[in-house]
Amino acid sequence: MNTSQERFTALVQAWTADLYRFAYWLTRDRQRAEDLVQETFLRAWRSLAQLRDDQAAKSWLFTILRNEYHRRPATPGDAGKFPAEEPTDNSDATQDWIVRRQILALPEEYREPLLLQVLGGYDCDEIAVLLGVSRAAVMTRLFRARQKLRAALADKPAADLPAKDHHELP
Amino acid sequence: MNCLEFRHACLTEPDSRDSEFRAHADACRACQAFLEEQRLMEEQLRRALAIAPPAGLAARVMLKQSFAPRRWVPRLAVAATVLMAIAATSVTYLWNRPLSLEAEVLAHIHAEPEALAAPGPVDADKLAAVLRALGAQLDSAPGDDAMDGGGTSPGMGEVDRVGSERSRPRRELAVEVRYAGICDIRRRPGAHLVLAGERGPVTVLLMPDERVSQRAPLRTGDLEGVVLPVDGGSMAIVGSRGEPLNALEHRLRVQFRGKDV
Repeated sequence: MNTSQERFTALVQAWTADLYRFAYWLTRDRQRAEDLVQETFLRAWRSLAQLRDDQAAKSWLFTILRNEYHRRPATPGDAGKFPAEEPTDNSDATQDWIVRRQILALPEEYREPLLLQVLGGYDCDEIAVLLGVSRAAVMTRLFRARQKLRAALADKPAADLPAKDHHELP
Repeated sequence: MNCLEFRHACLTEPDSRDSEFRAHADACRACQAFLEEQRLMEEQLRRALAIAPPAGLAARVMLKQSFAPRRWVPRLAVAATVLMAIAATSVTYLWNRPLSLEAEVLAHIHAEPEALAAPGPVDADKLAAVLRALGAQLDSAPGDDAMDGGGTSPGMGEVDRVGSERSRPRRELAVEVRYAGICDIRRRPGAHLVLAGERGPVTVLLMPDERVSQRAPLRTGDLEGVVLPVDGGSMAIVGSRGEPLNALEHRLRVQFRGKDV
């Protein structure tokens, strides 16, 4: 059986990058993202005995990070920090910059479920449990997140997309 | 599934493997084109999200962990005579101002979601080891007819956890324990227990170094409970909103004696 230290080291090697990405897109601040990752792993170290199954490790770590993020309200300077690089040409890098800018511009209530789905790999039911809302509410927020991204990226007015919204935000 | 529903699904779960979703994509050329467009956007999204973490982050995590004390949680293999050592540093809280005990209790519960999620059960030896480390005695009071049916809780000064203790036989804790550990609460060691309540997990914090003069309710968005004085310290009992805590409050008997830590 692996020792606790070996298990912890393996967790750090496997999940630091994914946790950092999740933290960065949540906080939109590189330093705060690093602090969150540090705090997450410290809590994970203290509670390592609770993790019985390596399949559950990613979800467990993401949950700890998310809880840690929500324990501390965002400071006024957190909003609207864009990545440093500027577009210079028509390359993929430029396209990435544009997409990143749009993701950062999403309000948190849309951005967080999108990150949980795309980065975290959670399904809508799991996201509903994490956020403490209904599945329908999660689907509405995901829909609106992608609707905004499509409209911004494709330069299409939102009216081109299906107008009728089955799901109402709670 | 019609086109409207399909396009909604494209924007909520574009990687859906639902059979109706796939069947519609196969049957409707316009919707298939919409899905392909959305999939291209998903690729762009994944690529954009895949930023590189700062160099050396994993190494810094390991460095910080090497200085971090480990909170010890009893395991099955641990002998009952193992001495519990409490970490010198406390769990860090991010508030700048000192909080009331009630607020600290709630913050502590929110900061330890893994305790609430623990499946349990914790066996009697493990629980005994945790309690012994704090010099705590915890058992069930005999059923009290006056308290049956969720009667009123005692007022200030009426909580009796001592005195007649010798004349009352000790009873096993008649509720499932799902989690037991030693925590730092306001930089002092305490026992963190999670019991199986009727509506969900119930947290019980035993705090031998905290003195409260009277019973105080506490409440936050989804939790409610009470902090109350017990012999030698205080106890917090917190459950989900609507959890019937009165019976548990009167059933749990706590006494603190000399500590091992």
